Amino acid sequence: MLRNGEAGRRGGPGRPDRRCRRTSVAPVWDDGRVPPSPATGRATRRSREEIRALMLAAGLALLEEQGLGVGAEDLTFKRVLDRVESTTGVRLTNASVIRRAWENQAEFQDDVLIAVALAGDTGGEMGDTAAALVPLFGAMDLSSPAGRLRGLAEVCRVGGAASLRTLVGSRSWSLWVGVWVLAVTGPPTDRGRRIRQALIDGYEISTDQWAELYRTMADYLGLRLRTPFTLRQFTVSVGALVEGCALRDGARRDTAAILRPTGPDGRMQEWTLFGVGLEALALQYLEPDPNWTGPVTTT
Amino acid sequence: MTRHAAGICDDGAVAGAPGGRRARRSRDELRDLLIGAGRAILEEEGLAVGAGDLTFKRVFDHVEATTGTRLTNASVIRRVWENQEDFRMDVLASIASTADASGELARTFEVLAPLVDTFDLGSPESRIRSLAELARVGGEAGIGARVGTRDWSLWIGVWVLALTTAPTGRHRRIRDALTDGLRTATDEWEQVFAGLCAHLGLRVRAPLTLRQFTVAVSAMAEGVALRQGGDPDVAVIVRPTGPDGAPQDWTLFGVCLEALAVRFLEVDPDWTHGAPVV
Repeated sequence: MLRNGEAGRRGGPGRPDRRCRRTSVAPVWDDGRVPPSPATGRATRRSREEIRALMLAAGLALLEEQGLGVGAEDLTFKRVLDRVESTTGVRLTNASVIRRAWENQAEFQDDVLIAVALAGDTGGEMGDTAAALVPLFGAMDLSSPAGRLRGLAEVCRVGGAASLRTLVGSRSWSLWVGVWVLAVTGPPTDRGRRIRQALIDGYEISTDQWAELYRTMADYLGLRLRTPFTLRQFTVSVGALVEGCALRDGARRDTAAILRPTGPDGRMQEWTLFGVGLEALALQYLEPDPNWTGPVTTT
Repeated sequence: MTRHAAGICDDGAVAGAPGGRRARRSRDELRDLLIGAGRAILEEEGLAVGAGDLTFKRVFDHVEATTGTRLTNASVIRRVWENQEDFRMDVLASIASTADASGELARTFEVLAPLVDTFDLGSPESRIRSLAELARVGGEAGIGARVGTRDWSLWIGVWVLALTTAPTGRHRRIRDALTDGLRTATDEWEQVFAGLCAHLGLRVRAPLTLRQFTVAVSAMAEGVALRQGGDPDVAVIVRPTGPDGAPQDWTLFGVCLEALAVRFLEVDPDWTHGAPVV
């Protein structure tokens, strides 16, 4: 293999060395030189930058055509069998699983991704959000529309912070969103279709659960949906915003808190950007219900 | 058949079961065992960075087919890249660095430019109505530039995959490129929003900042575009926002964009219609 700058020393300018094979009739040598041009009669050497640009453009074109793959290519049977043995003491070989549990390694990789896709809220985002909101309930002033809207703002501030914190710190969420992105943005293939269907199944369940939580919250605060919006549209909007914010926070972990004078007597309170956006969405989709008579109490 | 020292044979039979007979591990048990191990590995290490099929050979073939230039390993290894993996990281970093690869900014601007000249800016109410129309039309253009374009799909894919992997060594290059690209794109969008605010006579509500608005809008757009890829139900919302309450089509992103704009922005009482925009 020739290193940068060695070609001239070996073969002299304009003439390929015997060790430097000419690989084809195409206009470049395997050390990057271009055959003599008709105009000058001299060979020019394709620069490192030129080759780099050529190769990068081709690499991008291939990825654009064929996508990024499924994301589990490194998950070989060998690595997984080693993991099983080290964690459980059970020793398995390829013969234990190939054609018995899976036809091949690719099918196994798909099943792992499908398990990730179906797992849904294993990061506990919904549980953490609900737990953060529980202490707020007894302290809300529900006696006037203005008081109920203040309650809504506090739900957005506290619940938004809890929700975002859980997502950003969750390995299972980052895996889930990774599988989602590869499945929905990749080219349609049979492999991708199986994973995509599992994702949609898990997504539907998760969206329904979140919608139920928002319905409960709106009922408690005496709020209703503005016409013509639906609870699903609100739920999807909030989910989209929290995921977009969590991706940004993952890329830049220096997101500063926003101080707003929203506390009692105008005291400053810390807000996340997601909390501010969540309040914006809530005010867009929800409004005080004029026929509301008070929170429903269960005995 | 090979019998291993551990408690299972390679046909799935478990050694040492009571009564001296070997209990055979069922297909379902095997699947659960291995899927659990596979998930554990992915949770520890993240998803593969997504360019595993991008070999030098395939790229050389592509270069030759598209440009006529024939390259070999000797053209590039230790000359341009240390090895194939180094090349893959470079390709992914170049994708990560182009946050507006799909041309969303230009496409949105193209749609909005003729619109802004038609706005009635004579009253605070009409300026707020203009803001809503900007959100409706710009939102549709912005989401359309993302959903379904391969450039954006690749970019968001690399972003998410980079997040799922540990920020060490080769992957740090992708994260750094991503952060730089995001910063550049956010700077550009912030300038566009500043120009629109100045044109419509709007200002940012204290203590929020235009940067925060820009980041919130970008996060919203990315989240909606990702959802829209797997949830076609969120397509069109009809609202009576046209002249005399005529129904108009809104995208989900347009509705969200209007919500964010109303929360972050307000009418500037000191604004003078027709004053030059600095």
